[in-house]
Amino acid sequence: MIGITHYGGYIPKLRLDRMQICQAMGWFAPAIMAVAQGERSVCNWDEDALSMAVEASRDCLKGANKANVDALYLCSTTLPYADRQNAGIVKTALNMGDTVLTADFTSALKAGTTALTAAFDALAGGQKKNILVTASDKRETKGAYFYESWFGDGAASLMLGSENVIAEYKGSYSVSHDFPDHFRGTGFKYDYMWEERWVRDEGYSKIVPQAVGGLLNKLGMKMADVTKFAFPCFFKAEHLKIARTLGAAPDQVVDNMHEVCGETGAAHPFVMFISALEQAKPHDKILMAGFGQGCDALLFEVTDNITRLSPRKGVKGCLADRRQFPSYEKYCKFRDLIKVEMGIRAESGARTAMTTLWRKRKMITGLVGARCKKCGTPQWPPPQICVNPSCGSVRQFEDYEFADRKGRVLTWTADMLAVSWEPPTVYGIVQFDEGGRMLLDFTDCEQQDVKVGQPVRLSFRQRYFDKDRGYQGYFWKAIPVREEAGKEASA
Amino acid sequence: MATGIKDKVAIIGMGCSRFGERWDVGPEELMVEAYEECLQDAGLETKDIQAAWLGTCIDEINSGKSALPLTLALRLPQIPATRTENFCATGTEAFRGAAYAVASGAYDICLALGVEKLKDTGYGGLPDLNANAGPLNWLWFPNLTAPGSFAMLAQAYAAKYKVPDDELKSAMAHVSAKSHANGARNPKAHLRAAVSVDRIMAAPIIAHPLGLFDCCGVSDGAACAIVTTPEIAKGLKKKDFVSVKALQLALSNGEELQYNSWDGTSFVTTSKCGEAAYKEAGIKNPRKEISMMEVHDCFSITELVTMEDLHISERGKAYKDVVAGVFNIDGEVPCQVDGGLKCFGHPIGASGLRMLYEMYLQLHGRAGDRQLKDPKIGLTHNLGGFPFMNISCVAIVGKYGV
Amino acid sequence: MTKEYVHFELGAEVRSIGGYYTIDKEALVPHNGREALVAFGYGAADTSCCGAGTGCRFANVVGYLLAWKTGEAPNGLPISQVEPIRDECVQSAIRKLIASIEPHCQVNFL
Repeated sequence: MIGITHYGGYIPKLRLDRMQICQAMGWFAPAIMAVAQGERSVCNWDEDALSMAVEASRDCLKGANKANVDALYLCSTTLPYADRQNAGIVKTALNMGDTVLTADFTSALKAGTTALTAAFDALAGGQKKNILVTASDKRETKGAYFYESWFGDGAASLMLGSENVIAEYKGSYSVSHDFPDHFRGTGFKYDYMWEERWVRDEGYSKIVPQAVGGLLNKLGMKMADVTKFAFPCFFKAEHLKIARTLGAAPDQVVDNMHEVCGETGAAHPFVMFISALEQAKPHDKILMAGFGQGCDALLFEVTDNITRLSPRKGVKGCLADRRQFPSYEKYCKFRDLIKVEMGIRAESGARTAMTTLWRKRKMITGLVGARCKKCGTPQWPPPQICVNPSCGSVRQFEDYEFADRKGRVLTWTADMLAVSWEPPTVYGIVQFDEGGRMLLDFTDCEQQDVKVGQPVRLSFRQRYFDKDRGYQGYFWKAIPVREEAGKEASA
Repeated sequence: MATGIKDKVAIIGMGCSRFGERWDVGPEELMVEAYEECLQDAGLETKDIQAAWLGTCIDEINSGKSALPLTLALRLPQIPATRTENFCATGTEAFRGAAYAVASGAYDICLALGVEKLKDTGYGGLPDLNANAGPLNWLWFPNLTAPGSFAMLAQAYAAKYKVPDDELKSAMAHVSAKSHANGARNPKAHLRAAVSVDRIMAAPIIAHPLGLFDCCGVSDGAACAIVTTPEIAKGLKKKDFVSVKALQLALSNGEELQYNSWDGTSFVTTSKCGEAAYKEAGIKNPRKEISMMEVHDCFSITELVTMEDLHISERGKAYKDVVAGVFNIDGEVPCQVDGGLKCFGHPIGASGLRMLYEMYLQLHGRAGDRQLKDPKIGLTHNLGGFPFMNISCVAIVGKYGV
Repeated sequence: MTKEYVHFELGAEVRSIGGYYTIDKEALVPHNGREALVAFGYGAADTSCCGAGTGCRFANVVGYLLAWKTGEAPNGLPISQVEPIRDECVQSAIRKLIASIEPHCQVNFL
């Protein structure tokens, strides 16, 4: 059988309470009160669709042997590069091999489910054994309208294969329509939306049942046979109405998660599916559908292996790990919705040397250091000569991955002077338990969260944006974690 | 077999510009200001200088590259001139070049000049270090500042020796208060005002736990020295001249930041080159034998920890020594007698030479209101870089033959 | 533990090589039946060696007030008696109170 073997989730820590939007902008757009329930997830200033994709993929790979992955599909409508394979950057961050097939699936919110369908076809055809499919989106919206409240940022990842399958793939059915519910032209930052009522009535209501109905028909099943039905639709009433039309009762419909994170673009079918999977029992049947210029519907049956899956953060863990924005204005700054003076010091910015980036891609993107073959000392950055004063070996190293290692804060500071999107800038030296140390920026933390000796975990983040050349650079940062026996949470 | 530099180099002239936010001058004017005083002090003319060393660090916003800025400004007559740079140790590096040149017998009389004009940038502070640190560092080195890096030293020190927050802050405040009291007596200092410990402790935090007064600032300035051999000095009828007793440097090799042993609480390099300098100068008990010190007080914590690295204070005890007044102008081992970086600011290329200038004045009894009683041995210390990756240098001077 | 606090001349600049600060306001913040003396100020590291030291508003929590202006320092400024606040829970509570009084970016406990 083929199916899903592992899953991973990443919902960024920051949340904007929708009432904060109303309080700030309700005078201008009183209508947004209608969608002001709960909170939406928001990327930190150093996150984007690509960085979130790396985090979701890492979560997915827990307990898996990444050497077995032979393809990596990245699905998103908000990737940083129009030309420079984004999936290739994710692959390098995960330190995977040269023969992994990488592909970006873009330009539609159904990119994730479409990629899944293509991936299962490849598995079924026998050309691939394990495929990692990650979907991620950080959709930009202007302020004070519905979409700002409907959308959230997030990513999710599914590993497909044939060993220890936790959810067996039963089949898919896809329809495609050039239905322009919204569009975003190349070079434009914001989506252009058409009338919501039309999108509801002519789009979701007609196209989703076409695909889902088609799938049930193809598999000779009825909706009553399905345990959970997961499909994104931010029109709350329509969501249930479409499900009802297809024969699903309200308790079969997976919640759209508006109140806890918002709709995460191309990632949302996966996010909703995983939220169901996290509570599923063996033999549950879960139907996943993704809408966006068509619709893909896929059916899965949960197996016994779900009880044996190694722990991961998933969607549930990320939703629990939250920190609220202190104000709407801060959110606006993070989303570039207000112009602020960053000062003359922020003008600096060097051109990135592509030759150096290529030569050092494992080090920079993959956080791969070195371990001396002679004395066994792990070291960062990977050197030519061993740093151990009693060794001094020359060019006798093997690759040593640091990204998933445990470490602690050797020392740190909160710097009010460094130019920052969110002063004070926190950074320090991390000492890894198994050896090696690194000077790193810290993120997702406040001054009170950090102490000498505190454990940290590492996270892939945006490092700088060269706006003159459109170059987005990435590197790794440390996140202080609270020491809880048996459970990892961010501090 | 090498025998060190002790008593092989005589300093026969020194000069120092007024340090400050010198909106009125550029690098050329600063160089000539210091040089004029130095020549006069030495009783020499430009034609007597046979080789020169220029120390500037951030040349791109300052004087530009090569040693041409020096030879053009001073009209040196087509002689050899070299530009050196080693972060904040640049001033002492320029001195070192000139010193070794005369000690080797290659030249008779040499000039060392350090200058830095930092106020033409349009902002307060140094240019972004990361953007100019090479294409690889740009890709990953964290967005840190000097105050932040040295703040990490304070955090680690406090954690290791279990020093409560307010005691460390108080100790650091005493470091600053003492320097400001000395700087108030120095007409060449940028900042000349005494500040009390409690005013220092009430200042806002810059990089936790360092506050405003724990950090030095940006300034313009120049300082220079003319050196020769003791034989030539005697021939020039110089009596009682100042001689170099030791000149040592130590640079990090990556162990602090890349190996597993450094605990973040001290400067590995300072300890090493301090020991080498004491050996070179024949000093056995630094706390007893050193009469006065000028150390690199870019941050109060640097000065504190340096006292331990230089074996003046015991490990973990410097914070108590400073509060007890050991380093005050009337204390056991006066430190920052001229006010230090806290009062002069830090025009990078000039600082090392400015420190030697104070030792020189003190030894000659010309330090005015700051004059110590009969000082014998002076120590200067420069540190460039960060606690985890740096260049440390120590120079020891005293009267020739003493 | 009792400490003496020499009041600041409001608005007077205290200059360091890296910048300056002023104290412009004093307030008594009620907490737990006592009053915490807080001095508000503005500081800038505008000639410091690094960074965009454009300035910040800060609050110095001097301590619980024991006796208001009972003495005079040699420079003529009044002295009060205070009890420094070291308890982390109390510090946390006072940070919240200060946040509701005045926008600021730093709270320091003297």
